[in-house]
Amino acid sequence: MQSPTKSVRLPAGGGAYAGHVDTAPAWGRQRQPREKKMPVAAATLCLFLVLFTLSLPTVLAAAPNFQELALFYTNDVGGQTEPCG
Amino acid sequence: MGGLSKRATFLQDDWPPNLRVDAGNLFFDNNVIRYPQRLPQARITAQAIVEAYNQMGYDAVCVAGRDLAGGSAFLLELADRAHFPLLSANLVDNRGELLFPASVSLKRAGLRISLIGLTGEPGLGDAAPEELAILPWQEVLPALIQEIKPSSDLIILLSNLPPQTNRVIAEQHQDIHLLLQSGSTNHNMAPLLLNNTLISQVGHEGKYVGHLRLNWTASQKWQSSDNELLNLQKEYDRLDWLVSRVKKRGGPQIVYRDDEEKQAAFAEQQARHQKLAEKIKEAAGRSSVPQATFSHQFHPLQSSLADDPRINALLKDARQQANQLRRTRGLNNHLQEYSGSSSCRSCHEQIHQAWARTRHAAAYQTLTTRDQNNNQRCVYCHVTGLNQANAHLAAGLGDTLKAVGCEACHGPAAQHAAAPAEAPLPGLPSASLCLTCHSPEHDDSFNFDIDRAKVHPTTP
Repeated sequence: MQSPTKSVRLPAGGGAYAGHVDTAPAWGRQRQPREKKMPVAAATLCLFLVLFTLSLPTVLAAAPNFQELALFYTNDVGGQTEPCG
Repeated sequence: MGGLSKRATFLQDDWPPNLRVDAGNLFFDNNVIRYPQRLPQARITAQAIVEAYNQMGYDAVCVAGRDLAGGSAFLLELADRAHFPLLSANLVDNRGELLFPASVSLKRAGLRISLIGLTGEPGLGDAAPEELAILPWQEVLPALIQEIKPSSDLIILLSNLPPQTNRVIAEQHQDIHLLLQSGSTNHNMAPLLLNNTLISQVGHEGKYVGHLRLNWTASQKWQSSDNELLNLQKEYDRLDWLVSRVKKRGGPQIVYRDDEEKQAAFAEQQARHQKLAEKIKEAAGRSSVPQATFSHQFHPLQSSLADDPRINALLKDARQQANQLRRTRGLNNHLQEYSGSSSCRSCHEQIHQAWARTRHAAAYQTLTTRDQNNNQRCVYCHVTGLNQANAHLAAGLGDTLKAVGCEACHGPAAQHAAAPAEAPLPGLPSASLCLTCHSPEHDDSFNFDIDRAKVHPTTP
């Protein structure tokens, strides 16, 4: 995104900037206060961080955290509790 | 080999988070169905088994067809005693209501695990007891899987259905991740991956414990679907067992002392073991979505394993209770045909003396020292004149029949003893007679041609 305080020289033939026309007067560009836009961006970022932090426990809880499982299995013991002799 | 007290010792090791399950046919053997006179003793044993499983911390047991041999009321009584659920999704009473829970959910190692039980037919051509019905799996399983799937990371089916049926289930339901079966074979069956279901089974009579180490992932898919990796895993499992066994016994310097060649071979196996572990890890890492892996062992419960004293005590108590039931006197006509080895002595003195030094002569003694002389599963192979059908008559045997005597091999000889010339004995026994007791399960090194000489050590 271009900075509103800087004028931009269009490359010959348009290039990457083709279609973009800066119509703002020079005085207007100079008077646009940078401080007015930054709080909006900062607030968005803060909001995002707050929402992310709040949702973190849910995200972590939802993520599977499986450990190794040992499975011991038997079958057909058929009443044999111990060897005969 | 085998036994509950050795299994309890094995399970006491310092294992990671684990699950303990039994796929059924736990309480009775086929002979209880064939010979109902054994049932009273078998019921006492079944109660002891439940208590032992409580102490071993089992998580679930499937109700199999053969477990119905004691009747539904007895099985429900066992379920009340058990600290673990008996499971069956298809065993219903005459009102069509389930007798036992169809499934159980529990959490272990961060996993939400669901266990399902399916009951098969009792076998030997017998139907389930009249008051019960076994529903076809198709009627219950699909709906049950749909019900438990959203709340399960891992679904395990304990199935007593025939192996062919289990394969169909595995092919149709990839949401069943593990299928542990009972009743299909007497031998250990290493895990077989079919579709997305791992199928396995342990040999009968509790001689081994199956042990799967699962690294389950959110993909809920087994990785080892390619044969190459599966083979690597199998080789790794084999070496893992060998390496851990040698380490447990004090290391190669102790196990293979004075044998440098074996020490060198072991070092090579150890290196291969480590290399395989890296290879398997590398293969697992190649997948974009990590998939589940496993390794597997069958642990033999060898006689060298210590007995758990608590389990030993409760088994002893059960044996004493069973002994109270043994007063079944009254020899039948069949036993009156036997005269006992002492009556052979007068004519066959030398042969009798030689036999008296053999293990056959002390066969009954080996049972009494272990307090197993009234165990109907054992006694008929340690005496003369009994078989599986009439083992309950053991208490009525005369002392002269309490050994594997002459007539155990040569047949009943009361008539021969009374009139030797008029009633000759039929002759030498065949290998099949010896194999009745010296079966591979009880004597895996038996060789008829070599071992028959041991019965008459002084005769050619």
